[in-house]
Amino acid sequence: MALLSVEHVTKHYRIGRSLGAALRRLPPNWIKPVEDLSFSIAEGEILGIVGESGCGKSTTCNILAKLTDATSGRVLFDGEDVTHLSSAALARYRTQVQLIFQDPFDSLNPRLRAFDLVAEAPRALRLWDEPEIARRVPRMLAFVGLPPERYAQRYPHQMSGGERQRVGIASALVAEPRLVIADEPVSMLDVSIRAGVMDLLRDSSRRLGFSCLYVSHDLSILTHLCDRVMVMYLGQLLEVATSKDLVRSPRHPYTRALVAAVPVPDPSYKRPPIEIKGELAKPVNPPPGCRFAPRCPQAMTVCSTTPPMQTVAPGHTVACHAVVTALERKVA
Amino acid sequence: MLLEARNLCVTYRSVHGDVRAVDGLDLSISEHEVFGLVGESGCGKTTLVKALLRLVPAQTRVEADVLRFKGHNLLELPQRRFRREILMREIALVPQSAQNSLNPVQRVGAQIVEAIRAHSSTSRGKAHERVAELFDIVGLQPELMDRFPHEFSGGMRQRAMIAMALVFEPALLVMDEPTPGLDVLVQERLLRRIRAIRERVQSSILLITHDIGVIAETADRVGVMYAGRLVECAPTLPLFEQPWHPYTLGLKNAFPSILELGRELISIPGSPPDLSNPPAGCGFAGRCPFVLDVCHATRPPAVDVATGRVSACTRTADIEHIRAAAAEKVTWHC
Repeated sequence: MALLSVEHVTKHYRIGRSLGAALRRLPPNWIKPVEDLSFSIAEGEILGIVGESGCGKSTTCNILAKLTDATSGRVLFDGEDVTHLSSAALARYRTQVQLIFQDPFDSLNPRLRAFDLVAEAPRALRLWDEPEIARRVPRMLAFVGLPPERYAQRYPHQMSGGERQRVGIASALVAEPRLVIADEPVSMLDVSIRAGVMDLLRDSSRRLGFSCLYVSHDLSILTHLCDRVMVMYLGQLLEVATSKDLVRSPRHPYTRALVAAVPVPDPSYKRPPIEIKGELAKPVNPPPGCRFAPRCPQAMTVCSTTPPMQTVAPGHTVACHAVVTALERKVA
Repeated sequence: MLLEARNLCVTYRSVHGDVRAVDGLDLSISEHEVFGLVGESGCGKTTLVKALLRLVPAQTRVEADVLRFKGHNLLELPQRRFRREILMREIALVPQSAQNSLNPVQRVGAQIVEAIRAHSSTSRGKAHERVAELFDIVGLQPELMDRFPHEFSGGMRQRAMIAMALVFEPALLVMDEPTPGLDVLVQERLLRRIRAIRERVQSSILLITHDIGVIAETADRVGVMYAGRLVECAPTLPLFEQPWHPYTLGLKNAFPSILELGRELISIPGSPPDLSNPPAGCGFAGRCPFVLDVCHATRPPAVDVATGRVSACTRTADIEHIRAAAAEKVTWHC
């Protein structure tokens, strides 16, 4: 059974309009960062979200972490609807879902030592008494590769970026969550230490059995780490596939462009042509239908209606009229 | 040779003592080439650029055996002449976070007109024409000149900054981390544009980044920088095919590629040395799995290892063995 299922979740924000527009009774402006999003994460799975700025990946994280509420739709965690929770249930939910942040330089309180940083969440959530904390926190520090005898008493400024991110991971894992949401956790780290932090995340997911939602704009990192990857564009889910299928046979025109644009550390690599046109729009008052259509080389009239998610291969789903039409023609 | 630096050292003064951010760097850039400089944060890439453009704080010491640019001795050139003849005219910078470097309350075209007129006695009309031409080179429609920066996307602002740097067709265009913060598709478009610009103007480009994917795609030659020095320098293709320095081998191991999905990524253990207390020997010795006692004691000189290639490692004789061993994870993490 899926640990987490997201069903038709939508998030709309109403944003201000000018005085002139208000006086002329023009309709308000809407930002629609997430539109009818459905997906699920299996127990122990690492699922990646890739997309450009404004695609809704961070809003999705915020909704799942209950930092903001969805406008409509529901989220099931372990079969239980967690869209609206009482404060007691919310506290319980928050011990089971933890976040790892992007910036290890900003996300740690500079006045707390590593031990207290890791102990902060269990103390706030009143999970254990102090002796229990004193037992568990050093074990967690050792688990993430920071020997407690050397690191427990260090402040963030006495650690390197990679070590700080390990503290961030330790404080997310100490409460034994079942889902970890990681929002670009390695993008601020140097290349030579990134791999170590990614390994830590994957190994601990295997050993502790938690699921992970890993958000990044870097497809090469995602495909190395994740079991499956979903592609989002301006709030809509366009394609979901295993890492291998997504890179080797991307179906959606946008995914194809994304894969083709990834920098490859091989000077002899011949990049496939990228056909999409125009610039990325903002998700303000988006037109109905497929939001990628204005930039799509294969756009048709039918694209002004929202394409449904269709399975094109086992475990590989795409929301694109052109892909489905081509597939139907092939079958016929 | 357009730019030649021998044994360049840049030392910052701080209350905690001196910090030698660039420490004996040898670098040469030819005419009409794209030279990629790759290295991690704190390796001295940005300091190098600042020293070249004389943008370092006043108490900073910049020393070198040779620092020559287009026949000028940059170590002795008076400040007035540097500002009049070199800055913007011969060496121009596209700064890090170029996206935030435009004045938000002035139209983009007017800012570039102003830059032109600050450095030359061009008439307003002529300067305006020049901006239109530059916009065309960087792939922006000339109508966009009358827009404000907030009406530009990140990629467009970046291109406007490149247009400003190209005003006098400098012999050397320095781009400090041009791509972070840009989305993949925007980045790809920018890199394509950099290659196109290079065909149209006769500038050399010094491209500084930590992303070896970006380097692989744009550079003719690559310098790998670590702890203030160039540890390896080679033409791009051979550098990627057969690295000579253990640090380059480590970087290649750590960098993911969508072409090699099954490959296990291997990080480099440890972290770079503290440059306020630099090690006596090789800067990479503390993290290198192939380290010998001699590496800690003396600093290996850069030696020619093949045509057009240098590597600063004492163990170049064992390179076949080192390359084979570096591919194994146990070599780095035992």
